[in-house]
Amino acid sequence: MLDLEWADQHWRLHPHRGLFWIDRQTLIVTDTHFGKADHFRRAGVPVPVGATQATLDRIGTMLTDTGATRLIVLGDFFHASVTPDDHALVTLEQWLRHIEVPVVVVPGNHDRHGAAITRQLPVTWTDAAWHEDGITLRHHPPDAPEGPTLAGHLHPAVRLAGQARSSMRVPCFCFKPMLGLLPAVGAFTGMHPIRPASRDRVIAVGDGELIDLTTHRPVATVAAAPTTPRP
Amino acid sequence: MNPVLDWFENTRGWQPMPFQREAWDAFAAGESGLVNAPTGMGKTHAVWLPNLMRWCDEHPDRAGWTEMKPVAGTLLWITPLRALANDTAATLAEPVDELGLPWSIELRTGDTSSTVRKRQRTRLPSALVTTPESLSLLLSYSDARRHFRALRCVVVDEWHELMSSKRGTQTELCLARLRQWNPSLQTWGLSATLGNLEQARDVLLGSSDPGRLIRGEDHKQIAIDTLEPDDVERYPWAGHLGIKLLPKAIDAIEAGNSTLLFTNTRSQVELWFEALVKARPDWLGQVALHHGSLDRKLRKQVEDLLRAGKLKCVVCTSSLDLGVDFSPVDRVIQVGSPKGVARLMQRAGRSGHQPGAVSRIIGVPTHSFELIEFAAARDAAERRDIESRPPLDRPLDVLVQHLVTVAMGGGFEAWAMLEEVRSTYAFADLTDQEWQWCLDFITRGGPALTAYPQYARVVELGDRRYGVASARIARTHRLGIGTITSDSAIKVKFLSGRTLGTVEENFVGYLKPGDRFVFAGHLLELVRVRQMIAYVRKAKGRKATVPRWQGGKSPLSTQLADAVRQRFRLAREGVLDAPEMRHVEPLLRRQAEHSVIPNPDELLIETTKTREGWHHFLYPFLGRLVHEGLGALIAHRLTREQPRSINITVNDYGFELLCADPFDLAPDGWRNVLTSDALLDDLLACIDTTQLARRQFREIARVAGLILPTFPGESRSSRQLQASSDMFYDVLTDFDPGNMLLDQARREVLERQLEVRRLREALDRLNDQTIVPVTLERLSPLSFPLWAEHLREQHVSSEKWGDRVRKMAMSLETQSDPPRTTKRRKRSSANA
Repeated sequence: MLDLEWADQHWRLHPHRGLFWIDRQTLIVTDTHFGKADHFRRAGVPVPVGATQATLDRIGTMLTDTGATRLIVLGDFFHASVTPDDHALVTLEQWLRHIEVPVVVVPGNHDRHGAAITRQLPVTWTDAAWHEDGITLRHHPPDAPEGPTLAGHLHPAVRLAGQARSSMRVPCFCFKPMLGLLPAVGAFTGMHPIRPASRDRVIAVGDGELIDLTTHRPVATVAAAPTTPRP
Repeated sequence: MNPVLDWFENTRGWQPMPFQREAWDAFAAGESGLVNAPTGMGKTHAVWLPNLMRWCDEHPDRAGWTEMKPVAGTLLWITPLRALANDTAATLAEPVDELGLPWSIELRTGDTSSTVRKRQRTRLPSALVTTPESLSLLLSYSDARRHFRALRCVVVDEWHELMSSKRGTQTELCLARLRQWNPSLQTWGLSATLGNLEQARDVLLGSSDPGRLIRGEDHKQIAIDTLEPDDVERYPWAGHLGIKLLPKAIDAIEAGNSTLLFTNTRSQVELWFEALVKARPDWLGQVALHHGSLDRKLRKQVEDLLRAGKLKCVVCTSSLDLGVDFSPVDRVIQVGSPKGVARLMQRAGRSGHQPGAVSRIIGVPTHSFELIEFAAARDAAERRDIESRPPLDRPLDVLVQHLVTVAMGGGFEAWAMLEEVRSTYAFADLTDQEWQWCLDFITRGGPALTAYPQYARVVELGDRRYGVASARIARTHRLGIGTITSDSAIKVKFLSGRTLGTVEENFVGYLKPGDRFVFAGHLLELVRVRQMIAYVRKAKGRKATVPRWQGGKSPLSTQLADAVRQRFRLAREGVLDAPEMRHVEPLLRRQAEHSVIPNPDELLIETTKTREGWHHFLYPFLGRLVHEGLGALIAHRLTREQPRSINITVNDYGFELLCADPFDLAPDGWRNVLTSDALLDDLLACIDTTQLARRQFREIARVAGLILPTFPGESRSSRQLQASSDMFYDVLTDFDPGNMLLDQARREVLERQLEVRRLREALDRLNDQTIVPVTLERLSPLSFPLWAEHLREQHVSSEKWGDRVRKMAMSLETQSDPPRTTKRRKRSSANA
């Protein structure tokens, strides 16, 4: 884990792709995309079962590790409309009934039906933006944030160059002066390379490890700008 | 006399060649087979005319022909290239039109209009010219069998092009289906010369019958000349010499009527076109470019102009290797390494298309060693030592796709289908377990224990009979039929709307609006990127980048590499009996002075130290793919013994291992890391640590239907179904590691990327080779290009790289002039 100060608050980064807000004892994650695999399977695309449980296990581990008393999800909680017998919903329901912290969801672009789906579940949905202690939490990163803002949606990643022309993309956190971007926590989600500015603080997440690229930035961490529609 | 034979001999005044007669007789006897003859010898007539002859024999009443409705669905003509389809149909139509035969000849390719397609769905023409993909599509309709009930013959054109690709496997499976419906179906293939023609025939015919192999005599004269640079650098490095020879190439183009200038990569096409137009502005409009990433309309325009004799020169890649007859072309130039003997001969054959004419090709070396390659290619071409093309072994992704296609096209019964699939060459050894996995995969995602809930593409209808799960699945599947995959391509479009072609997403990713690049022969400025389209406008100025496309680098073939080694041997013995060899004599002398010129029975290992570390250069001469595998393997074995970081650089002659500390390996130590023991285990271990399998999985994911095809303007719901092959690779590795498509990815890496067969042969051969270790005082001509290549990877800006390499080459030259008389090298040999 890695601690940093940003926007006058204290934060702890977890290698399972979550951000622990120390001052508020809150774990923040984004882009869980629950039900995505089910959606694919219904359309005849073979995706194995397991992503939902893996995502929940990740979050569970982070809750334990940080001792958080609250969980906030920055949107794209669900991938598409979920039906009651979906494998993901069954798994999610069990998990939610079992954890002991309140769950708050800031809705994202995939969550049009979210509130209706979780009517029976212990989940609180907020408005498009949630303000707390001078920090704004939202799904979509705004072009010009009015104050310090944490957001998801982008699934940010950087390219790390390795030996003999090998390179790999890994998810990352990126902290700009007014905007903090979180990596997607969902196990079956994609990545999109971002183009950080030189003073941005970029921390890559690879193999259960956090790599602070600000302190030892390898050649060519800066990769392509997003060019495709986001997942 | 048969009216068709009469047309051939009397109307046209041709004499049947012996191979044509042989094919006609074999066809009349109901046989199948493969016809091999050089381009322009009349292969088409060898297999097309006997179809018409037989029909005439069966319908001797010529007067009745006019009232007859065209015969339906008698013959399928499969061609690998849409661009060839038009020409083929025209050739087929000649005897039909001139004799008034009631035969209709039509095309069905991706370009065919929906009205025509609909009509063909009710009634097929007598002869249908189509591609493997379109044939698969035809088989996916529920009434497919009815359409093909009258089918008597399938011709597969340019079989050598299809055979060793997934499209070839797809064709094999389609043929098996058609044979199942019409057991007496005749299959005929047409092929250029290959090292494994018998195998090519067997792959085409499957287990149906032994079949004939008919060869036309190859009298074709091929002349290979090479443009010689004015001075030979003693330290050659790839990628800069070519343009220096531009003036000489221009002279050659000027002297000809119409020239095809082939390069090895699409980027080089752009560079050469730009240089050519700049050097000869007066040729504007008479010079064009052609490569696979240009928009189809642009390519068609160029092809038409070329055929009409209106172009002085076309700069192109393998996109113009095939078929289409460009009679005005009287000159062919090859820029850069010929890479393979067959390829150079094929390209040479694009000129002098008429029977009896000499095919000429002029080689333009882009570095000095390529002079030797051209000399070697000439040796091998004279011996007709041609490369083989290996067929694929059990690509399960293609099978999975085909099974869904067949489930749609009337369904299948499991046991009968297994037998049909095993009748193909590709799947002859399909195990029961693999077959069951494929069935499970399409019906429930995987074996019972790992079944995927709510998933089904194919359902069991009872009695072990299978059909497609839903109309929606069928619709999506049809859109995705085929095995050609392109990397996520970004369309390049003018703001005014004209499409120029595609570049890779990666390339555009590095550009900002306002950045300039050269593409389709224009200097362009990126305006914006929206929804997989890069909008551009024309720009002015000079500095600009050129896009790079993946997969441009094919390795030096075994045949050519062997011929190069023989040329090295001769040079070591002082025999320089080719103009190219005399020209590179100073270079070879330098190699002999600083190191050794390796013989074919030697493995030269050069070692030197620079401030970057210890460099070990090994020269197995096996082509860059094998060297990549070999380098990774050795690095893996060395790092297993002792943790260290090794940097690997490869080219077609050898590879470099760069390490911070020396590894003190006597010849015996090298022998240990070069053993073929535990080869597969060690290779798989390297593959798992690299990204190779992941990259190979892209194609598999697309063919097996994991990644759905995308179309511009698609709806939101289909966008929500997009996932990258990387995501599938991860999710399968994590949650369904037994998925056989993952195995296939590893297998394909071994077979196709690392050429494991060639690698194993090479390691075995090393047992008989003498290891010759040489400590270099300074870089040798053979090691220099590897050193320069390695440097390129370290530097983002290629200009800086060029400067540095040039400086280094110059300093080495001045240091080593005049030649030393005393050789300062330690030489020892082992395993005498």
